Amino acid sequence: MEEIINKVLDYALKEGAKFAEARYQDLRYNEYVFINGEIRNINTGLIKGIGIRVLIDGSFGFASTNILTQEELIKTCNNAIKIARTTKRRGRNINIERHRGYHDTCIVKPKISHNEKDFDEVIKDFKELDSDVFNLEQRIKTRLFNVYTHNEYKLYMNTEGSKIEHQMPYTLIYRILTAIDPQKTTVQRAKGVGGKKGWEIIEDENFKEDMERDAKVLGKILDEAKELKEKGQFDVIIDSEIAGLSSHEACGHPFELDRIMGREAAQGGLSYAKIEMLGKEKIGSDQLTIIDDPLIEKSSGYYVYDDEGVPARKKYLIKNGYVNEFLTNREYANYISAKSNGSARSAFYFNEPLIRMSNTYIDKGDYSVEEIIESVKKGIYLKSYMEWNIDDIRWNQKYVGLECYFIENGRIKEMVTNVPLEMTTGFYFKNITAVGKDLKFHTGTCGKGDPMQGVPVWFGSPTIKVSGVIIR
Amino acid sequence: MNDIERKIESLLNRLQSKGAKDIIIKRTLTEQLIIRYSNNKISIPIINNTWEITLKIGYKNRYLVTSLGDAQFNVDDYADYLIRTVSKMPEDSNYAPIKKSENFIDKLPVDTSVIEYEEKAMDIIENVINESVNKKVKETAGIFTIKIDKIRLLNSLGIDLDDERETVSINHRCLNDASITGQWSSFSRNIKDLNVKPVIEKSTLFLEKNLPVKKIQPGKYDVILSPMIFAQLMERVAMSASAFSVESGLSFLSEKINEKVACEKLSIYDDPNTTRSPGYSRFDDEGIRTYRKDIIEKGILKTYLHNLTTAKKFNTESTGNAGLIVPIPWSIFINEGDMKEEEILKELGNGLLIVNSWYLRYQNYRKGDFSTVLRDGVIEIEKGEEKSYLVGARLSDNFLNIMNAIETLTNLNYPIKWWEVEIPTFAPYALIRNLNITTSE
Repeated sequence: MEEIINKVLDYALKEGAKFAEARYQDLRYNEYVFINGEIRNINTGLIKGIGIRVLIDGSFGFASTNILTQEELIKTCNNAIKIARTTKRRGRNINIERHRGYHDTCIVKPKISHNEKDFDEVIKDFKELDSDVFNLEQRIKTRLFNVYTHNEYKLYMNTEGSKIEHQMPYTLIYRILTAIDPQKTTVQRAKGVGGKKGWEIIEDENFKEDMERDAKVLGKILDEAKELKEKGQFDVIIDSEIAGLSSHEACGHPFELDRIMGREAAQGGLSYAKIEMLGKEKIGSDQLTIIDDPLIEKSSGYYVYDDEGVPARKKYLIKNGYVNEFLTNREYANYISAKSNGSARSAFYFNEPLIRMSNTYIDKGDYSVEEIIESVKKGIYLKSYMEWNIDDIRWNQKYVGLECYFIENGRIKEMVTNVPLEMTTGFYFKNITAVGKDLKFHTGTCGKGDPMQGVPVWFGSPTIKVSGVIIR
Repeated sequence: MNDIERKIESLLNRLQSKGAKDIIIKRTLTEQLIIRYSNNKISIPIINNTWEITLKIGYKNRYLVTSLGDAQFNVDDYADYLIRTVSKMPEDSNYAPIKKSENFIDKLPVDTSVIEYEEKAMDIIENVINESVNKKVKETAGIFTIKIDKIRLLNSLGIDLDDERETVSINHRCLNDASITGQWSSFSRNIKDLNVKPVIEKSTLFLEKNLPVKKIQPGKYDVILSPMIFAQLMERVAMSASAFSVESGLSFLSEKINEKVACEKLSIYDDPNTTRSPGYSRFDDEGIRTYRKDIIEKGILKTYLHNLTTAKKFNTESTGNAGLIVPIPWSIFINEGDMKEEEILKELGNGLLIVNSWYLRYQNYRKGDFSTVLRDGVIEIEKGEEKSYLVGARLSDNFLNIMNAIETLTNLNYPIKWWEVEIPTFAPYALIRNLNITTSE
């Protein structure tokens, strides 16, 4: 394959490309769907092909194929060149930030490879997990497990001489539990665990214990939780899961430079962040630092070089409240005369690389969770959520707490549920008044682009306190 | 017939000789031209050519669904792998044999390649951008897509079908700044039928009017939902009627067959046989003939959408909506009402006209509680007149509540398909009373 790709890249240069790159992907996946412990389906598959991107006459052209003969790849390269040339007079006169060629091989070896378990073993394991959770709380009438595993090999080559290989496993286990009490109500909880790991993820991420805890909590919500009667202004303690998600939604996305500059305006939208804020504007409290780090080994967002062949690195997006760095790729770094910080990712060989997050999190602070709780005179503690969303400039956001507690005089009191936390990013970041030491990560699939590209990420945070939130 | 097509036939024979039954092989050749634009210029053009087979094979009351995107596969090795894999599956009490069906001949052929459309597509985009800028819009962004799928479907009962499906779509957004935006989309089954006139008019409408901008106050409002947001909500309704959603505990339509789930004015049907929709299809992924069906008729839930497997589980017949795993609608139609579009603001009186939304998330799938962020025009209406452009709004309500509160539908459907509406959907304007609008502090 390497030999054919070299020929294709040479061909692109001869045809006048200033830069060309090829990404080969071989991804083998299994997806298991369990409903109430019964295997409902196993979907297996192989995705294998090459995407070629050329920069010619100031325009990008991208073409892909999964017929991997030299003849077909030259035809694909020609398609990329032809459409780039057609774009010239309507295009953006693109220049990209250049790098030296890199040669590297990055391999993650799982502790328990996906091949070590036959389908029947996987089915048996999840049947047992299902039975455990149902025995704990029999009102959980519907249990849905979606178990996805893949093993991916990627080869990246470009006209700068780079040849970079990544070989990694990935596992994502997602569950939705629905508890029904006909006399009362229905409550649901969805959660996933994921990482560039094999089956060891079940133990590493305490999948069973975490699910059992959720099962008990769902029962408790049905039995004890009340709607929040008292509305008004509260100090709110936000658990790692919601605060981590907010670091992704309210900082990671709006700090993508392509979004800031309008490229995603028709889909994911724009951003409250502006280029002129870089290094100058304080948008959060002193205690707020948000990081994006692709180099957390075995995390969902782990990679060593991005999909434009640029080395990955840790980025401080917000540092002590200040806008510090945006996520960039080669094209957009060039617009602000910066170096790409290695944030270009594509989900599949047939997708263009876009500026993406990896593992985004609020950095840990100095407080213990107990100290944070003790500091609240009248407040609400949000432990988990179901519903969330945010507007397309990433300013107006909502998280609805599922497992929540009323706090009075520094003590946790009764359980409440369906607490809507609806606030602007400006208010939220400036009113973070305590950040815990208990940094934890959670898994997610981040969506962006059109066609939609879902890429694995982690988001994380310690427990935090936000003061003076109005809850209606 | 080329070598790859012969290999597919060999694979079918090889699997049968190894004892597999109820085999379905679907081969899809996809050509796609995607042109993304932003800041009034082309961002990137993309051409994808892919080959894929998806298979469902039965073996001793077990079955397996798989897909293969490697045209260089070895028939014997792959057949061995499939038999080895399916034999490890547990027996399925809902094992559903495939059914014999006719060979259909009434296909609509597509006789060109997407690369031939390249110049024409660029011209359409240039026109949409220029027309918008002429209406004093500062920035435009969007996507234009042409997708051609050439499908061959074989099964172990001797069916060998082919079909050609073409989808052309455009999604166009206009922006005067980050908060003052307009957006519209459209689709057709081929490029000559794509009507961009409403796309330009509707996406620029409230930017041209230059209404005063105000922050919305939370509360209950009477609203008109434009086809952009109404299509999005109705697509969710149709997907909640998929038997897979019902079985998974993810449907607010669970246990409601033949019950009233909406007001009498609402009828939703799935029609795969309308040639004006890219959802036109004569057979589903299991080779079952497709047909028009009411999902909701005058407010009553009439059917769930089934493939052979879900039908067996629910003790009914397939509705021709396979999806080998998840049954899905082909084209969603909302029955039009009788009100003219130009009269609906007067009918509303005071309230909101909501153009679009995104980021719909459920608080509870089973109950249908959700919220979605409103965008691209939330217009304050006072005595039937447009007063101001409101920002910061979120619709936080419940699907069953919304469906029951529909008062009036307009008499013209718009074809809507974009990021938030994947299935081609034909939707009118809807006047709905007393919906819950929230906002952030």
